[in-house]
Amino acid sequence: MTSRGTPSRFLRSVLQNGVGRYICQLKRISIIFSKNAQSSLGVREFIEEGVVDYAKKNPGTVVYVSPQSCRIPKIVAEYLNGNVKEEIVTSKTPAQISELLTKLTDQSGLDIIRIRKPFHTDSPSIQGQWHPFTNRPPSVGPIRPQKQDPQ
Amino acid sequence: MVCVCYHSNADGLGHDRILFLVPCRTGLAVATFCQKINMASGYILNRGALTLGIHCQRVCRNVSLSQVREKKRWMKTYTFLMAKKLKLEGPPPPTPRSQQPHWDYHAEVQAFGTRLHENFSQELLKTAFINPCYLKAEQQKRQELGVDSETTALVLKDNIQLSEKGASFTQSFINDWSRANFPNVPTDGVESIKRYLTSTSVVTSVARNLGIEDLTMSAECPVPDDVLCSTFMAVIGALQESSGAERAGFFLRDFLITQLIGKDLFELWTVVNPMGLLVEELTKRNIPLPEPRLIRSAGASTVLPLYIVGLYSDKKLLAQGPGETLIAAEEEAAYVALRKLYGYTENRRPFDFSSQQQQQHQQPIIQSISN
Amino acid sequence: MSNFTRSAQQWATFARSWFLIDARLQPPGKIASMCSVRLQGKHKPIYHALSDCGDHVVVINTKHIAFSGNKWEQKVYSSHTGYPGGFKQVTATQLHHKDPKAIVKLAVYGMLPKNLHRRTMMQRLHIFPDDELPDDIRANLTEELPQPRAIPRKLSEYTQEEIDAFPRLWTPLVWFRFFSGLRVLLMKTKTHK
Repeated sequence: MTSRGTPSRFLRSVLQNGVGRYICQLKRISIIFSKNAQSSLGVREFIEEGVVDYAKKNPGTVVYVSPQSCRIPKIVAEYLNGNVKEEIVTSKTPAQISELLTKLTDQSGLDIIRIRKPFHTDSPSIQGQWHPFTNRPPSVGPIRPQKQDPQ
Repeated sequence: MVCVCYHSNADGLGHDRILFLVPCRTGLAVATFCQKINMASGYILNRGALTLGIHCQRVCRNVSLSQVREKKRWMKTYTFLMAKKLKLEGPPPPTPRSQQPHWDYHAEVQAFGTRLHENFSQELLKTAFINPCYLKAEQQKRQELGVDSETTALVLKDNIQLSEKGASFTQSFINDWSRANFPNVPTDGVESIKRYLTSTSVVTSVARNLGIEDLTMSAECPVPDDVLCSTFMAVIGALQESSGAERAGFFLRDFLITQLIGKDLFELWTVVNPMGLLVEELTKRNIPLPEPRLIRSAGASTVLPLYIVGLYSDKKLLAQGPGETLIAAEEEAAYVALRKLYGYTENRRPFDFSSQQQQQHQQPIIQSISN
Repeated sequence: MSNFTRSAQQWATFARSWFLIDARLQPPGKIASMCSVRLQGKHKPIYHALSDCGDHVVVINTKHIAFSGNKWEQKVYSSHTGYPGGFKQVTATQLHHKDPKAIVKLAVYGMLPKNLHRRTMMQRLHIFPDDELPDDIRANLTEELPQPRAIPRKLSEYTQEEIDAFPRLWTPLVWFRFFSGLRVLLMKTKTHK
C-alpha cells in the first residue's frame, strides 16, 4: 500500500529512554509450543539449550514457557508501553529463535510502521531559526518617504 | 526469571477434543466432535461409529462428497451473532493482567526491580503495590463468600504511608533540583515546574510506561489515574526506604525530570502580565526600566502583519520579539527578556543526566583542583 | 538561541515581506527576473514549492523602463482575440504607449513557473507607472532592492574638469585632427546661432 494509506509515526523513544538510564523495554516473553508436534522441534531444542542463558542475560524480562497442544508455536512479547507482539516460530532452528529473541529484546515497543523522518531533535536550531529579518541591514526611517512638496 | 506453567487440554486417548457452541433451533447446544486424525481408509464415520463400532459405510475415495466435517455450516451464523453482540454491547471489559494467562507475581515484582537497575526490598515493594481500595474490595468479597475473618485474616498492609512519604520526597527533590539548576527562577516558576511534574497526566504516563499498572492491586480495572499516581509515589517511598534518598533522587531525575526535555518555562508557567514581571525583575537587579521600540515591520496594513519590537534599557538592547500585533510583539519581547534573565534559554547548558559512577569519577578531579 | 515562543517563531519565519524595485532606466527583463525570484520565495532558505512562501513586490516608474538594443521597434507582442482574423501584433513602443505597466507585467508572467500558483503570485505583484504609491502599500514596504543595471552618466552630467582630466587614449591622425577641428568649428558656429 502507499505511505498515505498506511499509518506512520515520528521517531521517538518511550519516556526519553537512554537520556537518564537505559531500560530494556521488553517486560514479558511467553513461549507457547507443543510437546510432540514436529513444527515446535526448534523451539523444544532452544528450550533445552538456550532459554536459561537468555533469561540469565536479561534479568529484567520474565520468561514464561508453556507447552500446550497447539499446531503453531508462538513467542508472545509484551513491552512496557503496552504493545504485544506475536511471532510465529514454526519450523525455525534454535539459532533463528535466539536471533529472534535478541531482536525482540532490542526493540522498543513502538509500532513497526513507516517512520516519517529518520531523525528527531528537541533543539533544531543552534544559531536561531531564520526569519525574514535575519541578516538584513537595518533601515533608518520609512522606505521612500513621501516627498513633502515645498512647491 | 524462568517460570514454567502447564496448560494442556488433551485427553488420554491422544485425540483432540474441540468444544463448539452449535446454534440450532432449540437454542445453543453443546456438541462434541470426535475427529480421528488418520482418514486414510476413506470411511465416513458417524458420530456413533466410534463408540458403537457399527454403521461404517464404505465409500470409494474418488467420490467427492460434501464433507460436513471440514466445512462448518454453523460457523458463519455464529460469527455474525457474535459480531452483532459485540456491536450491541461494545467490547468486553478489560481484565487486569494478573487474571490473564502467564502471570507469576513474585517473578514479576523481582523483574520490575532488576529492570530499573534498582535494589528494592521485596516486601516494601509488594506493600507499595497494594492499594486501600483493593483491601476493601477483598474484605467485601470474603464477607460475601462467607469466609471467616478470624481464621483467614487478610494480612496485607496498605501503601498509604509509603505513598505520602514518596510524595513529600518528590516535592522536596524537585524543589532542590530546580533551585540548583535554575538559581534565577523565582518561587512561582519553581512551583509551576513542580506542579507540572507531579500532575496526574505526567505521573500516570510515566507509571504506565514503566509497567506499574500491571503490578498494581486495585479494586477497578483499568486502574484509575489517582490510584496509579499514589502507587507510583508509594514505589518512590519504597525505593527511598530500601536504597536511600540518593538513589531515589537519581530514579526521580531519570524518569520524572526527563519529562521536562523540550518544554519551555512559560509553557508550564502562565504569566498574566509578562511586562510587569519583567519590570519587577529589573528593579530588583537595579537595571533601568525597559523601553519598547518598533524595530521592524512587514505588511503593516495587511491581515498578516509582522512586527518586531525591541526592549531597550538605557539605550542597550535587552531582547527583541516578533508578533502579529504590536501588543503581541511587545509581550513576546518581554518573555524573551525574562527567559534570558532566568537562564532558561534554548542555548543553556543541558541538564546533567550522567550516571552515578560518572559523577563519582568527576568529583575527585574537582577536589584535587581545589586543593 | 532565538528563545521565541513556538507560535511566535513560526509566525515570524513564514511572514511575507514587501520589496520595492525602482525600474527607472532599467531593462524590464532584469527587473522581471528579480521579481519572479522573490514572488516564488526562492530567495528564502525555507523555500518549498508547496508552502506558498512568496513575498510581495512593488515596481515603480515602469513608464521609464529602458530596453537595450532596438527592441522598442523590433520586439513584438502578439495576442489573439479569439475571433477569426483577430490576430494582433503590436510593437513594444505601441504597447508601452497604450499601457505603461504591460511590458513588466508580461515579462514577469513569462518568468514565473507555468502552474496554478502563477496567478496567485501575479496578484502579489504591484506595478505602478509613476513614483506615486498608495499610503497602505507604502506602509507595508520592508526593503528597497538595488537596481540591476548601473545607470551610465550622460555627457551633460560630467563636469568640465572631469572631461579635461580624462586621459587622451590615442593621438588621432592628421586628417582626423582636421576633421575634428572642422567639427569643433561647426559646433561653435551652431552654438553662436
